[in-house]
Amino acid sequence: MEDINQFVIFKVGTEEYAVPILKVNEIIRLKGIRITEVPNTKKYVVGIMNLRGEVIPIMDLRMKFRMPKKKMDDDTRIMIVNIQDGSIGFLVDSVSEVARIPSGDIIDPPEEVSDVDSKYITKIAKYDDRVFIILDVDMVVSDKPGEPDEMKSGKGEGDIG
Amino acid sequence: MNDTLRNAFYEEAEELFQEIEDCLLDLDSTGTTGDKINNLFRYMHTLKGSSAAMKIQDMAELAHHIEDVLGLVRDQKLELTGDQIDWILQGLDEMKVRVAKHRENEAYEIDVDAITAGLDACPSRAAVSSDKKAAGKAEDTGAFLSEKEKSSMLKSLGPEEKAFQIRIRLTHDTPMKGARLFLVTDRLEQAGRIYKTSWENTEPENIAGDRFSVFLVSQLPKKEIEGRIHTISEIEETDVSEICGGRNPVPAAKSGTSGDREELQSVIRVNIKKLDQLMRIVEELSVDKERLKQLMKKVSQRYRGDEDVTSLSALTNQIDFIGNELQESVMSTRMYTLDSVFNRFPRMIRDLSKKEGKEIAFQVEGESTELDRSIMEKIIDPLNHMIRNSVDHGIESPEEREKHGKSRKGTIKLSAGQEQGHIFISLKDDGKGINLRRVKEKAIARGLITQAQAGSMTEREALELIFLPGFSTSDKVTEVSGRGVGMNVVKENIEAINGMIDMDNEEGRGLAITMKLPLTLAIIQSLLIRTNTFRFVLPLLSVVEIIRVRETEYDKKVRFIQEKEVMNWRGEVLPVLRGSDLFHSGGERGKSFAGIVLGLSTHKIILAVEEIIGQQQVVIKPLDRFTGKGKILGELRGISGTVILGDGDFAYVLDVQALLKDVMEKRKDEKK
Repeated sequence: MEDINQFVIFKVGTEEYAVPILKVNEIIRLKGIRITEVPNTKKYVVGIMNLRGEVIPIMDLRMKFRMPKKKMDDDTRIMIVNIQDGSIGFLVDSVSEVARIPSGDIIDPPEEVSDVDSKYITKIAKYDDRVFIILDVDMVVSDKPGEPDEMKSGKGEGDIG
Repeated sequence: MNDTLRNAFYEEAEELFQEIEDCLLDLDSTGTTGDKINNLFRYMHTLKGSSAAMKIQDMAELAHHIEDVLGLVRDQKLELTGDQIDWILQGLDEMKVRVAKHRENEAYEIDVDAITAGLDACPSRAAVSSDKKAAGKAEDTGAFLSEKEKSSMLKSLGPEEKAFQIRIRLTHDTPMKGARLFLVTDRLEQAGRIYKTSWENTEPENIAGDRFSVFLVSQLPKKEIEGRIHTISEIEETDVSEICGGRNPVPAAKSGTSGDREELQSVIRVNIKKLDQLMRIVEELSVDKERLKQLMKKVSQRYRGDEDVTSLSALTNQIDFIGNELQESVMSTRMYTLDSVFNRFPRMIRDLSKKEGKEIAFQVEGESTELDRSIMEKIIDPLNHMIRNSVDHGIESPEEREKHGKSRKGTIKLSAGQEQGHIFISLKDDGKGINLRRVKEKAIARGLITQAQAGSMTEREALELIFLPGFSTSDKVTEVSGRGVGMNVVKENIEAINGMIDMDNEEGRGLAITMKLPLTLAIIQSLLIRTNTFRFVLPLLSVVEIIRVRETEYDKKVRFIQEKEVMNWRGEVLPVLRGSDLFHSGGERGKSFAGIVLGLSTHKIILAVEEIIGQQQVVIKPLDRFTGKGKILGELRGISGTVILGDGDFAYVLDVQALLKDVMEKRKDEKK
C-alpha cells in the first residue's frame, strides 16, 4: 500500500501551500489575540504574542513572499509551527483543510513554479485538480544572503482582531 | 557501582574537603580548641569511611593516617603545628585530585607514604608522642558532650550525685564491640544513671574505633566506678574523671556541635533542574497573577457593590499575597549563602602570601548573605582575580610596609551584604593602591591611549583604564597575576549580570572595589519606560538617576560635541542617547524629555525617553532562541529579552550593556 502524507493546506495570496501536519502545533483565530510589535527587527515580523506563557514570534508570509499587504479579516489565521528554535507563528490569509496526499502525488517542483522564492519549496503536491506548494518551514524562517533584511520603522503595537 | 551512590560520594567528599580545610585554616590561625578539633576529627573519619566504602584504598589509607594524628590532637596528646597543617592540607589536595580523577574514571594514586612520612617527620609530633602517657589525662569533657548537654547534665544532679566521664579503650581487634559496650552500660547502670554514651547514635553492628566515652551520674566514688567495669575482658584502659561546672569554660558560640548535626540531618539534596522548573512555574503564575489583579480592578469598577465581586476581589488579594510568598520561598531555595564562595579564599590567600613572602590578615564579613545561584557562578572568577590582584599588586612586602610606616601585616577585607534590593560585595585592602601615573604610562606603552588623551584624563577615567583588555600594570608576569586579563574578565562578568563596579583608590593607602549585584536574574525590579509606541524595561540596578529636562531648560542643559547631544552630570560629561533613534521608533527629538542616567560596571550614559511609566517587578523571558544572524528576529540589537506586563502586552528588556558598548565604540572611532 502506498504511503499517505497529511498536510495542512493554507492560502497566501492566490497560491495554496502545504506543510506537513506534524510541523503544525495549532491554528489560531486572530480575535482576542494581542500582538506586540518588535523594535529593530525584520520587516516581515509582525510582532510577538503570548501563547500560554510562551513567547511566539509571528511572521507575515505575505511580506516574506513580497506580496502586497492585505487587510486582516475573519479568515486570517495564525498557524503555530515548530521550527528548530522553537514555536513560531505564520500569519496566513486562510487555512482551508487537512489533505491526505499519497507519496506518489508529491513531485519535484518545475523550474518556474511561482513568484515565491524557489528555495522555500521542497516539493509540490497534486491534489485532484489543485496544486499545493510544500513549504520548508525552517528555510522560510532562516535568512540566507540576498534576503530582504531591512529594519522596519515601526508605528506601534496594535490590537488585532 | 551505582551512579547515584557515586555521585552522593563525590558531593559528600567535596563538602567534607571544604569543612576540613576550613577547620584546618581556623586551627592554623587560632590554635587548637575542643570543638573544632572534634569536628575536624569527625569529618576526616567520615571521609575515611566513605572512601573505603568506594574502595578508594589509597585515599582511605591516607585519611586513616591523618585521622590518627588528629585523634592524638583531640585527646590533647599533641599540638598541631603549622608544618603539620601544611602536610595535612597537602594530603587533602591529593585527595581532591584523587576524587576528581575518580569521577572522570581516570587512574590516579596518592603517594600515601610520602605524605605520611612528611607528616610524621614534623618535629613536634615526635616530641609529644614519645611523652604520650603524661599528657594523656588532660581535661576534655567537650569531647562528646556539648556545653549545653554538659550544663543540663550538671543541672540534673541530685544531692550527693556527681557527674563522671568514663573513657574506655577496647583492645584494637575486639570482636563484637557493640556487645562489649553493652556490658559496660549494663554494669554502669547499676552504679548510677547513664546520661549519654558516645556510641548511642550508632547501630551496634556499626560501632567502630577503640575509644568510647560514657557520661554517668552517680553517688559512688571514682574508684568504685572504675572497679565495676575494669573486670570486663578486652577493655584495655579505663579512665574515670569527674565533670565539674564552671571549669573548662568554652565560649557559648562554640557549643554548636550537636546543633550542627541536627541541621545536617534536615537537609535534602534536590536536583537544580527541579528547582529551575519550579521557578519557571512560579514565574508563569506571577505573570498571570498580575493580569488577574488588573482584570479584577476593571470588574470591580463595573460591578461596584456586587457581593460576589467584593468577595472575589478579596480572594484575588489573598491569591496575590500567597503568590508573592510562594515566589519568595521558591527563590530562596535557589539561594546560596556566599560562604560557599568565600570559604575558598582563606586557603588561597594563605598559599599566595606564603609564596610571595607577604604577611596578610584576611577578614571576611557578611558571608551569610544569600545570592541566586546563577549570579553566584558569575562572581567566582571576578573575586578570584580581584583577590589575587590584592595579594600580588596591592599588599606590599613586610619590609616595604615598615618603610612606609605601616604594620608588617597587610589586611584584605572581603565583605558582603544586602541593601535596597541589591547585593554588594566589597574587597578592601590597605596596600599601596593604584598608581595612576603608572597606569597611564602603561596604557600609552600598550597603545591603548595617546599621550594627549592621558593628559586630559580625569582620575576616574584613568582608573578605568585597568579594565581595558590587555592591560596589566605588573612588569613581570607572576604566577599569581599579571597576565593582563584579570580586570577585563571582572568587568565582563559583572556587566553580564547587570552589576556595577565602584572603585575607591587611595594611592599608598589602599584600594576598595565594590560590586553591586542584582538579587536574582529571572525576576528583576525594573523601570518601565516608553519611547514612541514601544515600552521598555530597564533593570533598576542600572538606573543611577532620572533627570527631567523641560523645553525651556534644553538649551541650558544640553550641549553639543561633534553635533551629538551631551549633558553635564555631576561633573561628568555624558552622551545623550535618544530612545527613538535607538529603536527607529520615529517621533521627533523633543526638547523636553526624561533623561535616565544609566550605569553599568564603570561607564555611564543618559538615555532620553518620552515617558517614564513607573517601577515594576518583572519576569524576564529570554528571546535568544529567536535572535541572532539568520534567525527570525534578526540580531535585535539592544534588547536582551521580553517581559509580559500586567495588561498582557509585552515590553522589551533594554540591554544596557550592549547600548553602552555601542556608544563606547562609536566614541573611540570618533576620537581616532
